[in-house]
Parts: sequence; C-alpha cells; structure tokens
Amino acid sequence: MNRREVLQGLGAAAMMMPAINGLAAQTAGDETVYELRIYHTNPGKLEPLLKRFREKETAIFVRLGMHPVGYWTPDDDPLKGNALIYILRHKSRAAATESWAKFSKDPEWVKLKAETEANGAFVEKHDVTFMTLTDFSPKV
Amino acid sequence: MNRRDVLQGIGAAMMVATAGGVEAQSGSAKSEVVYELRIYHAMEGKLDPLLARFRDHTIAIFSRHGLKLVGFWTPTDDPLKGNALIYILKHPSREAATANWKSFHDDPEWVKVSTASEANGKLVEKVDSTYMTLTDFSPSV
Repeated sequence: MNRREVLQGLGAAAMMMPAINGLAAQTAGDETVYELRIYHTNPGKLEPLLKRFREKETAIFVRLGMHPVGYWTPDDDPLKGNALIYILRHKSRAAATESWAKFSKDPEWVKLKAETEANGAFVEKHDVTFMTLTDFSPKV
Repeated sequence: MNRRDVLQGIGAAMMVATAGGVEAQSGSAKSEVVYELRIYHAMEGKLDPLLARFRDHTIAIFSRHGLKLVGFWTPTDDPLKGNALIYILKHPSREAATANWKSFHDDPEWVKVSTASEANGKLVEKVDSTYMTLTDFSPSV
C-alpha cells in the first residue's frame, strides 16, 4: 500500500461519513424507499416477538438487503405492550419487493417462524406504509 | 506515514463510521430518551403548503426549541399518498418533550407563521402522535 492508495482510502471513508449523519435530502435519481411497519401483537406475544427480532430476525433482514433504521415500542396505551414499530430502508421499491419475497421463502426464517409460533401467531395485524424522505429531512 | 499509522488512521475512520451505526441505548440503561412518531393527515389540497411550512419555517423553529429531527417522509401509496406527512422527533425525555412542545407553541414566530399559513383554512385535519422508546436491539437513531 503506498501513500497515494492510503489517501484515496481515507478520502473514500471521509466521503461516506457525512452521508451517514449529515443533513442531505434525497438526491435526484435516488430510488431509496423507507418502510414503516407497525406490528400489533396478540396478547402476551410482544416479548417473544421482540426476542425473535433481537436474536434472529434483524440479522435475516440485513442478510437479505433490508436495512433497519430503528425499532421502537410505544410508551402509551393503547399500543403500549402490544406493538412494535420499525422502519426499514430499501434501495428501491422493486428491491423491497424482492427482499420480502426472498425473506418469506428463506429457510432460516421459515424454520424460525414455525418454531417460535408453534403455540400461536405473534402478530395479529401489521400496518405497512412505504414512504420517501422529504427534501428537507435529515438523512436517515 | 508508515503502515502502522495507516492502519490506526483507518481504524479511527471506521470508529467514526460506527458512531452512526448499530449501537442501541446501551450504557445508558436509564436513558429517558423518547422518540415521537407523528403522522399528519393534511386537509384536501394542503399537503404542499404544509410541506412548504415545514421546509421554510417549522423545522428551524423545532430545532430552536430542542425538538431534534430524526426524519421526515411522505407516503408513496394510497390512501395516504398526497395527504400525509410522517416524521419522527427525538426528545431528551418525556418531560422535555412536553416542555419543548409548549415553548414551540408559544414561540412568536410559530404563532405568526401558523396564522399566516392558515389564512385560507387549516392545513392539518388530524395528528396522530405516538411516543416510543428504542428497543435494545435497534440501531442508534
């Protein structure tokens, strides 16, 4: 590795950094979409659902190209204790469709879901909202 | 610059990169940080003026009152397409959220801007607000 390669490497790393936290709107030609998902759980199933996300499910998302932005649980009734709210980022709407199709057929996921839901489904209902970043949003 | 310096430099750069990456609210188990998911359902034909008000005024006023901006989005599909704004704020605590919203509503610039922008009718029909806490397996936000 010579000095020039080093500087190029550092330059590339530095260029990537502001994009992570900076204030930069979605640029033209960027097809990135975000997906807001709200899972309404069956009684007593939020904890096992969170455990499944913590231990396995988020890793499967990442492996299939879905980028988790954040996972939250509501603090107040009526959603407190029975909902998980999260946002995924996808390269495009088509990529989202493809990733979810792969996910639903993924052997690790199929096995995991069958095992964890042997005593009943975790999720009663889920709300899905696809969305794009506004031009005045911080980068997410 | 020798090889060791280079590797240290790259290591430091990688650490900076992870600052925005996966790190939940660990080390701050008692953290009171709360997030607020807000969904604004705009009056018919009022999404664009609502977005303009956020772009030109509201987000700056939010920042002045300690309301930290996480992200702002618009839905891409019916039935919310063209009539909703979704955003997330980060607050130091629930109490801070209450105090900061109050100071926001009392802010003279906000009072002026909201009055002027709604001279021809309200922009927002309904606001859904959900306070929430980051899970222990979430990336930091």
